[in-house]
This record gives sequence, structure tokens and C-alpha cells, in this order.
Amino acid sequence: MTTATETSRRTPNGLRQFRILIRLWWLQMRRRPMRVGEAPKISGAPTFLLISVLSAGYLAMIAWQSVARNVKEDPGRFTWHMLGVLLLGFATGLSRGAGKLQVRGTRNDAFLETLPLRTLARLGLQFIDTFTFIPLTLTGVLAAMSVHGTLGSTSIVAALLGTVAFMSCYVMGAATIAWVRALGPASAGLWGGYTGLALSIVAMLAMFVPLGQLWVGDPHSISAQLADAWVGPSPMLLSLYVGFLGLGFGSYRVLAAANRFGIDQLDPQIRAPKQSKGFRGRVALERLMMMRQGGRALLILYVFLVGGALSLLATPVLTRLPASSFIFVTGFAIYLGALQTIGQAARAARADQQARPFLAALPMSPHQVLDGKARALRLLLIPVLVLLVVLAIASLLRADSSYTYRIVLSLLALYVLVDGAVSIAFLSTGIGVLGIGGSQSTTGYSTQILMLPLFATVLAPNDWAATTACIATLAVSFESRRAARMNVRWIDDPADDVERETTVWRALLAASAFFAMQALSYRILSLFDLPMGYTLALSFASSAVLLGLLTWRNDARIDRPRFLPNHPSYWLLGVLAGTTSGLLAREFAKLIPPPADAADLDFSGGELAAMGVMMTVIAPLVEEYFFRGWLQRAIAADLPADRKKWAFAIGASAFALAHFGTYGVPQLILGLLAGWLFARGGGLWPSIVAHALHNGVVLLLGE
Amino acid sequence: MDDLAPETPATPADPTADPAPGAVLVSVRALSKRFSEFVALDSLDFELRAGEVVGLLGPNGAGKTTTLKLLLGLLRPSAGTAQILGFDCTHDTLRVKERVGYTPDEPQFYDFLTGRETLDFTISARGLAPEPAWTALTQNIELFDFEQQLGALTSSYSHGMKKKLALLCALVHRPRVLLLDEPTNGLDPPTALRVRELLRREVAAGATVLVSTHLLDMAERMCDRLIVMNRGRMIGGGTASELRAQAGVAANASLEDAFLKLVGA
Repeated sequence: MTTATETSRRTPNGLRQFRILIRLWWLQMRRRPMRVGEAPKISGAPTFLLISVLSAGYLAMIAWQSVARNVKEDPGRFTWHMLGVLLLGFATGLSRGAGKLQVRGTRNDAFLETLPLRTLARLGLQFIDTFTFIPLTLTGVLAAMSVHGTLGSTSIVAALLGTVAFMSCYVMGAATIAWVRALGPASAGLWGGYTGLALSIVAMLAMFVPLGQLWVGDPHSISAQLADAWVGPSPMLLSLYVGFLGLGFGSYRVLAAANRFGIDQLDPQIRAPKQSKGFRGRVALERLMMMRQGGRALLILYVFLVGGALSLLATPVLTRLPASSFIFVTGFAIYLGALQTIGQAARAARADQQARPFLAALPMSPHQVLDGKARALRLLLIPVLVLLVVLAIASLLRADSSYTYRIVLSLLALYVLVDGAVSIAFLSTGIGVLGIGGSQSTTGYSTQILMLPLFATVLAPNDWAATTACIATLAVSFESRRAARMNVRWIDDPADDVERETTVWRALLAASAFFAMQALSYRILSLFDLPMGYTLALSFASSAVLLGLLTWRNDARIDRPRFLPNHPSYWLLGVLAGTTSGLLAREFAKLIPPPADAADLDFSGGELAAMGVMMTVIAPLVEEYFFRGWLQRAIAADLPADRKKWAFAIGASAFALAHFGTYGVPQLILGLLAGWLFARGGGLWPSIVAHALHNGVVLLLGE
Repeated sequence: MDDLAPETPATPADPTADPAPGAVLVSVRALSKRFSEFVALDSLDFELRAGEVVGLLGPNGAGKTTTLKLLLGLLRPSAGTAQILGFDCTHDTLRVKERVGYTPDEPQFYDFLTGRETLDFTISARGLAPEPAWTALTQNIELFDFEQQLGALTSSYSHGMKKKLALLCALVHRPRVLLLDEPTNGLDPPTALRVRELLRREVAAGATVLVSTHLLDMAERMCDRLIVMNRGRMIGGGTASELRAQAGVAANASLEDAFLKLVGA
């Protein structure tokens, strides 16, 4: 029996290993290639990718607008930024891979198999993750900085190429460490980690402090050319990118070969952690586990990134910028925090599932299990929370009360989000309910939606929308926590209907994505010079599509709603309800004019038509489908039998809260009427008719 | 810890307060468990008293693990009740778990904690004072010669080492009821012997032990009393010699013969 204290093992000599690796690689090349799609599927990357790319594009555009208009150019600084991004890509690949190997290498022979390299190969392919995304965003921003205020195809190409270059460097870093580890001594993984960290620091310095300018006499002559080349892709630069891509792809093939043939078995590295000093409590041990599962490296990197962001705030470039650049930095901080939270929560949930036989015997309530994780997670969030607090103080100094309010909202939302992320991770890994859920992609999908309302707290067009987004985040966190407390019990029973799935949190998650999407698409659309009416209609339509899809996808968990009424008289009641509430809304608007900024807009005919379609067709369909067809029924399913009849009122309150920006009173009346009709067996159509009439009356007679 | 009701004070009905040997610590009444069509456990009745080691014998699929999981509240019974120290195993799961030591059939721990940290975790999750708990643990660690391995991550442990750690975890709070699922499977003979010594010591101090196993040899040597199960039913019970009588084999026949005859193989 191999004892765990054994710390080293005989390794075949380097040359032989090299030969084996080459041979395996050759074998791999001759076989059918491994499908690239395989790796992201394991990690749930596609949806993550989608959301990340959307947010990246969005952040880039924000920066575009604000930066490009105010900073003409600073090519010397720009070049060093660019080089820093590439180096950082390589370094993060290196340290990420090494970190994994170091931790995973602690398994003994029986467990070793091909795990570390498979993990590595996956990481290499998983382009957008915690580490990669951050520099990626910077790349996009840098590309944007060089565009001088226009939103042209050149700048988009530049941003894409920058992304490709970064990803290639990342895969190269991961592959390099695999090679070094296969060829070198047992400590290679460890040293790879240190090297990666050191390179990251250098890269950060290069990015944030243009030290390089000290070494190159006149930076402008060289770097101006480079910067120009970056903006307009010259043949030389294009070939450079193609070269990067080729190297990245080649490195991936090496990893795939090694993975396929289990090359890593040649070099198991068994490391025991340092002996702990004295007793540690449960929460401290939860923290320790998170640290060992990559949290330590993450924390260090975050400290650097936060430092970098703060130093960026202090540079002359950004002091010339308007308040919106602060919004960009805040969005960045929130993104960091949310990614951190979501990733670690998912890891913690998986670790608990794996250690289930051990945990099942301990007298821990669901609350204790969830709370332990959440408390440990908040510790890892400290750098990001510090950044947000600093930003809040900075905004106080600028006397920008709206922005201060947004930061406080997002601080609150991020703090509470930890609970939501942990709960959703547990719910999605199917710990409470045996055999339900369980796929990692579900975890990723659900928790990543949580990021959207967080963004919206900062980026929403007005404070009302920001507040709505924050309320949505709080509601999701609260509801998912409640659902998890009912589910996260160590029950092995497949036939246990006591531990049922509560669906309200899923509905609220979809709603929060809807609000967030509305705010985000509004921001993006206002970058183009569209008339306001089109912007409003389009931003609503895009978020409505999202909500419709989410509803359609998720309501399979409860049976689909009925559309046709039990009795024809419901059609008449729907018409009556819609007209009445519409007229009441009009009277209400006369008494108290809505606070929205759009109050005195003058729409053209086309805009009015777009708004009309949005308000009388899309909104009624999607909102009724969601609020009545899903949320109301989810609430009813969750209430005890004698109180089920009040579900329509709770649903209507949520509906009114969603229309917070116009005080929600008319919508409460509409929600009560439509919800009551639906609950009485009216089906969805009469409610949709009522909603459409209400909106129609408000739109046509509202002047 | 915050959410947990404070430990109920020992009432006269609470047998924890009663150290007398022979007190009933575990009682199982007409316990049944059905997984849709499949009957895993059919109206099981037994009692465990302080000061005895009882073996749960049976072929694979007899319902041994199901019984233990029902006792720990990991499954909900289809009918019948199980009580440990006066607490209902289905509805008072947390109180039962506070008072019971359990080792699973296939122990698994947090990969990223060492053995020592796993024990720390157990102590903390059970709300025990660290100092006395570790003092009590030292003796068991020495018995298993486990000091050396405590510093290694549990993911590097062999099956036998995991079994030992699971036993150490189960004994952290000196429970009066021990539910052990195949405790000596995968252990070498000297260690298995030490496990027996350890259980004897706990039983002498007033505990009761329920051991599920299919190793007949070990069962005969370790247990005061045996419960033989087949297809979810109890088909025999008593001391080894009583079992031989029930099976109708000679008094000097091996327990294996008696067992095979009872399960009708």
C-alpha cells in the first residue's frame, strides 16, 4: 500500500518521456481528431461564453464611448498595455495549469489516472473563465481606446483579433506547463505556478505602469507604429495573429494527445499540505478548502487587479474622463466579484456532493451547510468589496449622488448574491433531490444569469431601473435560499416527495434576467443614434424574447399553462378588465405624472407604431405568459392548500413591483384583474387581451 | 449552529441519562421500506440494548444498508417507526445524528482536507469542545496507528485508511449508539482485531453497536447477538448457537452452514 506521506516517486528520464510524448502526439494526429466541442460541454462553457461575450462587448462599448471621445491617443502607454495583455494571457495559462496540477497531483496512483491533464486541456479550451475573461475585457477596451470615437468595423476586427491573441497565449501557457511537467522534475508544477505568478505581476506592471517607456528611449516612434498596426490590421499583424492561432492550436493538440494517452501517469506528484497549526472550526475549514481549490491564486490575482483598477483611476488618462468611466470600473469590479462567487459556489457544492457519505452522518441543518459556504465565500470577496467601497467614496467626493446610490445598491446586491449563488449551486447539483438536476451546465446557466441584474444595478438607464434590478437580485437570493433550505438535506431517498423542488426562485431568476437585459440593451442601443421610440421598443423586445425563452424552457418543471378559457364569458371579462384598468391608469397619470425621463418625448409616427407593437402585442404576450403562466402558478404550488387562492395577489404585487418606475399602482390593478381571471380558469388569452387593452388605452389616450 | 434548537435537556424519558446496562437504546417497530415496486425492508422488528454488539447479517441486497440508512434518517420509512434514544429517526433526524456514530459502507471525505482537518470539521460540526475531543481521539489514533497519515489529504487515502478515518469520525463524540456499515471490510487482520477491541471498550462503557456485515467469521467473533436478514425480512436472530439451533444444524457446525441453511441457499 502506498502511504500518503510518500512525497516523491521515481520518474522516467526526460529524454524517454520526450520520446513518448512525441510518439503519443503522432498517434493522436493520425487518429480522428478530438472534437473541440467536447471540453466546453463538460464545463458548461457555451452559455457562459455567450453571457461573457455579451458582457464583454457591452463593457467594451461603454469604454469606447467614454474613453474614445475624451482621450485622443497615448500610443506609448497603449503598446505597453497591449504587450501586457498578451503576457498576462500566457502567464495566467501557465499559473492556472500549474495550480491545478499542484492540487490535483495530490491524488495517489489509484486516483491519478489522466485527471490533471484532462483538467488542463479543458482549461486551455475553456476560453472564457475567471482568469481569462478579465484580461480579455481589457483587450477589448484597449482596442476600443484606439478607435478615436467611431464604432467602425476596423475597431471590431481589432477587438476580435486581440481576443484571439489572448486566448492563443493562454492555451500556450497551459500547454507549456504540461510539457515542462511531463519532461521536468516533480516540482515543475509548483515552479510553473510561481513563474506564472511572477509573469502576471510583470504583465500587470506593464499594463498599469508604463515602465517600459523608461527602457525604450523614444517609445513613440516604435509604439505609434504598433498602435496604428493594431487598429488597421496590416498584413504583418494579421500573419502574427495567424501565427498565434497556429501555436495555440498546436499546443492544444499536444494537450489532447497527452490527455488521450494518459501521459501524466508518468509523473504523479504527491504533495501533502503543511501541517495545520491547532484546531480549526468548520467555517475556517470551508475557507481553507476554497483556498486550496484555486481560491488562493484567485485572491492574489484579485488583489493585483483591484490595485490595478485603482491605479488606473489615478492615472491622468482617466481623470480626464466623465463619470461614466467610473461606471465602467464598477462594472468591472462587480464582474470580478460575481465570477468569483459563482465559480467557488459551484466548486463547493460539488465538493459537498462528493463528500456526501461523510456529511450525511453529521448533525448539520441545511441552513448551517449553506451558511458555512456563504461565510467562507464572503472572505474571498473582500478585495472586490474594498474596491467598491473606494469607488463609493470617490463618487461622494465627485458629489455624484446617483452614482453613489448605484454603488451602494451593487454592494448590497453583491453581498446578498453570495447566498443566492451558493443556494443555486446546491440546488443545481441535485444534492437535496436525488437524481434531479445535477448537470454542471445547469449550474453554470442558472448562476450566471444572476450576474445580469448585478450589472443592471450600475448600468441601468435610471435609478428606478437600478432599484428594480437590485430588488430582483435580493428576491432571487432570498427565494433560492429558501428553496435550498428545503432541499439541501442529506436524504438518499429517490421516492421522497417531501423534498420537492420549489420553482419560485427559477421564475424570479428569469424575471431578474429580463429586467437586466432591458437595462443593458437600452444602454447598448443608445450608443447608436436611434430615435428614442425605437430604442425603447427594441430594448424591450430583446428582453421580452429572453424572458419568453426562459419561461418556455423552465416551465417544463411545472406543466404548461392553459391558454383557452373554460367558458367564453372570460373573453368578455378580459375586455372589460383591460378597458377599466386602462382608464383608471389614465386617471392616475393625470393625478401623479410618472417620474420616467421619457415623459415629454415627442415620438414620430414610426416610433409610435414600434411602441404600439411593443406595448400591445409583445408585452402582453410575454408578460402574461411569465407573470400569470409561470410565476403565479409557481407561487400557488408553493403555498399551503388553504392559502393557494391568494397566489394571484402575490403575483400581482410582483408584477406591480416590476413596474416600479411608474409607481406600479395601475399595474397592480391590472395584475389583480388578470391574475384573478387566470386563476378562475380563464386561461391566458383573456388576460393577454386585458393587458393589451390596458396598454393600448394608456398609449392612445395618454397624451 | 445558530439554527439548531438547543440540545434538549435530559428528561426522565431520555435514556441518555440512564447508564444502566440493558437499557433499550434503539427500538425498531414494523419498519418497512419500499422503493416503488421493490420491497427492500419488510416489517422489521428489533431492539438494541446498552452493552451489546449486534450483527446484521445477510446476503447482498438483504436490506442491511437500508436498515442503517433508515436509522440515520437518510431514508424515510414506508411504514413503521425507528427510535434511537427516544428520538424518532425520521422526524428528529438532527437530534438522532447528534447522538449516533455512523460509518458508511464506502467512506468519502472532502478531497481538499487532510485527515486531521476532517476530524476538526467533525468536531466543529458536532459543536464539541476541541481540546477534550482531541484528547479522547488520541487513544483511538494510537490504536489504529494513524498519526502518520493524519497530515495527508484524504484524497490520497486507500480504502482501508478511509475506513479507519470514518471510524475515528464516528467516535469523536463518544456516541452511545454506533451504526457501522461493513466496518472491517478492506482492513487488514491486525487492524480488524483492533476495531473489535475498540468496540468492546465502547460497549463496556455502556454503548450499543449495530454492525452490518457479510463476513460471518468476524460476526461470530465480534457480536453478542446476530440478526439474519434475507430479502428485507428477518429470518433468524439470537446468539450464534441459537442460530445453529434455528437452522437445525449441529452445535459444532460452522456459522456459515447455519447461515446458508437459513437463507435457503
